[in-house]
Amino acid sequence: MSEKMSENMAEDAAGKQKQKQKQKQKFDLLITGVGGQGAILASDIIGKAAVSAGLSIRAAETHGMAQRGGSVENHIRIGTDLGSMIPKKGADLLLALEPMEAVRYLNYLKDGGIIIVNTETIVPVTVSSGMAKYPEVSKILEALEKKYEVKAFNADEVATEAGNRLAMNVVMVGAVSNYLPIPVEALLESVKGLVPPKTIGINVKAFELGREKVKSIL
Amino acid sequence: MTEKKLLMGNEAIAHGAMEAGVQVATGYPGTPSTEVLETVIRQAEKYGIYTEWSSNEKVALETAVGAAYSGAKALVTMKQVGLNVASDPLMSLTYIGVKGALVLLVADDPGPHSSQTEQDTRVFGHFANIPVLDPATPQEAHALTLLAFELSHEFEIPVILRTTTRVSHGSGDVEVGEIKPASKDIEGFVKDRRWTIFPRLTAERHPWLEKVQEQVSERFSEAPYYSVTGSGKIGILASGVSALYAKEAVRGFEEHFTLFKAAGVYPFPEKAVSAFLKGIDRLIVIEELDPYLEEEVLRLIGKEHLPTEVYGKKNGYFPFGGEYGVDLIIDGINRVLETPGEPFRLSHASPAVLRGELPPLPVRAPTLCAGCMHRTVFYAFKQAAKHFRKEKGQDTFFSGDIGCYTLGNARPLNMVDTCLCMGAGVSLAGGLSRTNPDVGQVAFIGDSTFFHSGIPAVVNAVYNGADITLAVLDNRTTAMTGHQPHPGIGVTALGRNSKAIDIANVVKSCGVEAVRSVEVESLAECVEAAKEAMEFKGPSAVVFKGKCVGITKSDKRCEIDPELCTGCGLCAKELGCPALYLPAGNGKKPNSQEQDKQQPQQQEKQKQQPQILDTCSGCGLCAGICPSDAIKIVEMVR
Repeated sequence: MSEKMSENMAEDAAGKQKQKQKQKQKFDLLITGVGGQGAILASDIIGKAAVSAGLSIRAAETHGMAQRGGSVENHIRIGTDLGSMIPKKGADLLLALEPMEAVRYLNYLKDGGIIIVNTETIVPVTVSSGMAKYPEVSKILEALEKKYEVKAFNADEVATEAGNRLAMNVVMVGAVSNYLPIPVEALLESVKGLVPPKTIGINVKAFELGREKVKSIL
Repeated sequence: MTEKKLLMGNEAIAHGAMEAGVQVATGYPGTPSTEVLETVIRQAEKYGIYTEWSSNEKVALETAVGAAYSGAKALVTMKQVGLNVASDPLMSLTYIGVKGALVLLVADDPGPHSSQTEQDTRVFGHFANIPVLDPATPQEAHALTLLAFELSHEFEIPVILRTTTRVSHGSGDVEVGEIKPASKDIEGFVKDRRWTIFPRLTAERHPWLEKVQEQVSERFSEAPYYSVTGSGKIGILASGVSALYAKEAVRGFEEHFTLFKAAGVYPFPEKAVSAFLKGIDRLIVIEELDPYLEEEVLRLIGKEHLPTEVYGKKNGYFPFGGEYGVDLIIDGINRVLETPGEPFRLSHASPAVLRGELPPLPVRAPTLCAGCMHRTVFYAFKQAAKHFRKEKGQDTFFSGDIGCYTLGNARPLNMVDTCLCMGAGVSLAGGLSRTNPDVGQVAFIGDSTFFHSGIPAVVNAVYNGADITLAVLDNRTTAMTGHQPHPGIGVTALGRNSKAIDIANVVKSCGVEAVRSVEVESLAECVEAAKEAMEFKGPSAVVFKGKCVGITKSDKRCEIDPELCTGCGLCAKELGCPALYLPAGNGKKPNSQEQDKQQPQQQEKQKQQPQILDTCSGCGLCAGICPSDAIKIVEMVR
């Protein structure tokens, strides 16, 4: 392909420009959490917005048994025509809806990558029945901050502020919107189109609060 | 007219089937296949498509066969283990063939994520003489669905569209065409001896069937059933998502490789692969599950006396089991590159080393929901079994089955001693009773599973006098796969009313004499019913009726009275309910800030006492076992 390009300088420049544009739009995002937290809706909002913005997208979701309170991982690859699974150290950003689930999938995040993490914990039954211990959230964050850019806040509280704790997933989409190569308008339209009509107001607010929250964290 | 949409692979397949003009669509839910039929069902009335959730995969296939015999375009959906259930009609059907078109969507599950087996439907296609298409992306799944209907109609045979989890549950931007209302112009069934299988007919048809295999192999050696990219001397043969992973793995080194990506996998595209082999020095075969392509290509290399060295599963370069990914393939290819001493290696991102600095993570396995009726029933039988052990020194074996209630195997419930396949629990308990006569036998089965394949086992227990107790967990939905209706609830796939088949009546009419129905409300009543049924000599049954908390709203929740709670922790330790949290020495729920705000004495007290989290739906099971009567069910104030 490169040989062909050199035949025509103008084409080459245009091609490079296009390539650059494409590079800019390439973004690998990993969303992790617990079955039932709404990770699939979060992925769908981002995926639909990407399509409406004319970007190619591949995504992989966890369905089935793991949804019963198990650990879930959704891969979202913007601007790719390859497979939907992000290779190890390939993700630009890790969006964790639960702190322990940020740690579980760290292998996918590139060195120095960004972690947006909801600090509200969900204790697995192994912990709640006293068989195992949940690691201290502050210790988790401390360790993560050594190697990654961490944006941690309690998204459940932000969602409650927006009007419903269940909008936590949309708070997190708002938070990640600061980094995605997708216009914020497209994301907001996607939120409106995918949440139950009665909850549009709450979810738009959740999105906006999440978006602002991350900006306020240095 | 086409448009681009974000679609899950399963939705893209449904869209393709509707574009192809599918007239009848049937299936039985099973991860990762379920959303195909769900998507068709949502559009069924709009486009005039007949759809149904059938009672099992065999029935679903046979229903679709009837439609295809009549000249209709039919689709039947199932997961890989569902194909085992449907294999009886399918094996015979290949000899007879179809008139309209019949496409089977079968979803495989490498890993496995949500299945009992890692079986490979490509191999099943080979065994059954049925063409198999293997898409890599949602877009390709859409395109191959359209082609599957064409192939089936042209060759008058059923065709399998085989996906894997990452195709079915992967999503992407998919260019789709227009769906037109399904044609009402169906020729109808025409009486002919070709529809009645008989040894003579089978003998007549067998040569035809083999001929079709050759013809389809030729077809699969044409575009778009395969593609070749690159011109390097190292060949890669792959199908499905593995082909995409391979493409990503060799990024930056493309000039060394030539990728043959097969979309039509069975019958093996011999002609195309033969041409491809002649342009390469060595071959790497990359495929999840069975070494299907590898064995086919080895056979071809032998047949044509080619010198090509093959690297795959059979000589240890790639694993047989588990799900593949880019990293695994990079490692595999690098091992191959070492063998003949190639001068380059694929670049490989090693995992982050940070893990050592982080605290160990507790496992987060799937669990029965807070308030799930299954937990109450499991716990009731646990109590009943304890009683018989104490009173009579008798043990109890608990046979499980397939559904949410398989999760009853987890600690601390630990109530599933066997699980094999749909419907197996009841008959398995019968078998155990023959060889362990001094042990009580209880078989748990869900409502949808009961209708799927439980009934013949109940008939057998009665006929042969097995001393077992059947415990039907009737939560009035097919919960695990996403709450599909079933024959017991009086609603069809389209949400129309139908006759609800009462499980207790079915069990009675099978000849079970001790049958009782219990609403799962009080633990004591469930324990009593369990004891009574287990005491009965011969087959007995209890139908436990309750709600699935996944689809019902509760206005109740449990509360702990801090004055009465002694902090014994029994509720959390015994039940494994995700809404009960036992602080393991670190005060409140590990949630940072709030913890610090509390007074020390307050923290001290809470250290002893379990907490009830927001996910509680007030089922009251914990209240029922609390020795200090410290848990109350309260109406929620809104």
